Amino acid sequence: MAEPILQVENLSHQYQDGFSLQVEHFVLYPGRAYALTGPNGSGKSTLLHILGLLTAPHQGRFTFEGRPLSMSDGASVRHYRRQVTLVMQQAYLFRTSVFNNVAYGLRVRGLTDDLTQIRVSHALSKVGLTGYETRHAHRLSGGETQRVALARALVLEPKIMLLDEPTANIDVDYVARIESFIAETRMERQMTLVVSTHQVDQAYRMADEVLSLRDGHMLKAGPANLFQGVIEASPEGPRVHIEGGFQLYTTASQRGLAHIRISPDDILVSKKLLSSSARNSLKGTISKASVEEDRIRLDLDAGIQLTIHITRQSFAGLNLTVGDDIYATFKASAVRVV
Amino acid sequence: MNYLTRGFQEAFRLLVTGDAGVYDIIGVSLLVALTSTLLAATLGLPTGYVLATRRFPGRRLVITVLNTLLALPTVVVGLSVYAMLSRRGPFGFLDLLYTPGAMITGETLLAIPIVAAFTLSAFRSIDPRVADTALTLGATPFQTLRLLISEARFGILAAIVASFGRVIAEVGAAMMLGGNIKGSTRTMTTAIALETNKGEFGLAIALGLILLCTAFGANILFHWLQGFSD
Repeated sequence: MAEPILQVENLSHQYQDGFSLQVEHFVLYPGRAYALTGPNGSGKSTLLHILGLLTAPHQGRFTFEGRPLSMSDGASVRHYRRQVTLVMQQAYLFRTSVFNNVAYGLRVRGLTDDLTQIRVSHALSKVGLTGYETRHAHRLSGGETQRVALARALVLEPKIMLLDEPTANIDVDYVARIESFIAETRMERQMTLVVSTHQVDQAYRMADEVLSLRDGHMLKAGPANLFQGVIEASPEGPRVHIEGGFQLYTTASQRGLAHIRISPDDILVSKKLLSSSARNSLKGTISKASVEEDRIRLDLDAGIQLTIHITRQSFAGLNLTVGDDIYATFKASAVRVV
Repeated sequence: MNYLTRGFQEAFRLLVTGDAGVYDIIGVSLLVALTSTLLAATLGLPTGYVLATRRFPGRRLVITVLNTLLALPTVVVGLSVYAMLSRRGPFGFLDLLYTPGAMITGETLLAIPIVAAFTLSAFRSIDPRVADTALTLGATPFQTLRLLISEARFGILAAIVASFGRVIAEVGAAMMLGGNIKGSTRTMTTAIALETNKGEFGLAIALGLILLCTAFGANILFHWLQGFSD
């Protein structure tokens, strides 16, 4: 993999109300898309504001394009800001026309009027706002405002784009359009994307990697047993091909690229291969067993990482320990498209 | 009431025929008011901006003083500047007393708190996301400042118009510092006061009408701009 575009280490930030954000290590690679998920107040916006250098963290080390970023060095902060653009959740449009808003970032970069004109028109057409150029920005609806703000940021084609809940205020009809504009720009420009959302499905649609934040801490993994794969028809029924050459039977009607998830509660555990109606069976080694509330969580290394929940009674009854080889069995209907 | 009718007739005659005396007086008024507004803007705009955007010890005190100075009696300003500029005063050597320079000094001191206080409120009413948004779009601090000024433009213009309105209609300091010398320091307000005392209503009414139009115009412009900035 290429060199990281941005590395953040030992990041910590504390608010007066006691909320604190602690991220030990956060790495972004060029051209990849990351989604930050988590409930309201989990620290998504704070992290994005810190990455956009709008909030100065109490502690943290930034390495941008291989060079340490010093917050006291005006020139390097300016260079960073020209490459990293943030769109806030409640975006503000300047008190002027829509055109001037979208053109703003291009003008401060000294682009010629002709080029600015072309790029602004293109960006506005992509967010479905052609013909809005001369409208006053403060007379737009909430959704239109958000779309102009997105166009204003995407027109700059930054190396890193930070989007805080980009489609939260946007009409359902436009969400797909906005997502594809973001995806297009990202592909064309090899842009790194960090998008915060509380919609898990959007996270998986837009990102290569989903990170989740809880109470200011970044959890290493997203939801358990989530995989990206390609669903294809086969004589034995639809199968999903996931990374690492694994194939799982599914009952999903969808075909093509998709994210699938297997609930950890839907997986049976046995020491021998079961003869049953369940069509998926994987052999693996228990890498970790931990107590979670009233149940046991098993982490299984079966070439893919599976998380399985079983009762304490089953765990004791099967006499399982870390390092045991077991079979994980689940029905095709347990392999669900997210 | 005949004298009033005659006064109006005379006033229209003076205005229509372009009486040199009348236009001289208007000229002095505009010179004093525009110069002092310009000077007050030069000093008051940065003051208002700094008070709105920077935190420093004593800031609240400065704002309180500024708001108090909005109600500064003009004769007190006249008196203070007079004391400074009179022959026995510390700036007596400048020989400014009874010149337009002395009037401009006094009017500027009156106008600075107005420009600064209105500018402060104009910058305060800017959405706090403006500067952040500009920075994330790659603006330099200077470009961000320009954007902030543009966002506050109506409020800033209103501050300037309000101070012009105050200065053009002011009589106390103008009289004390200018001395109402014909052709040199006689303004519309001081001339009206003098002509009324003399019973020369024609010139007083002519100047009064012009002053009224100017003050109304400035006030309408001020409220129109305020409407934009809200």
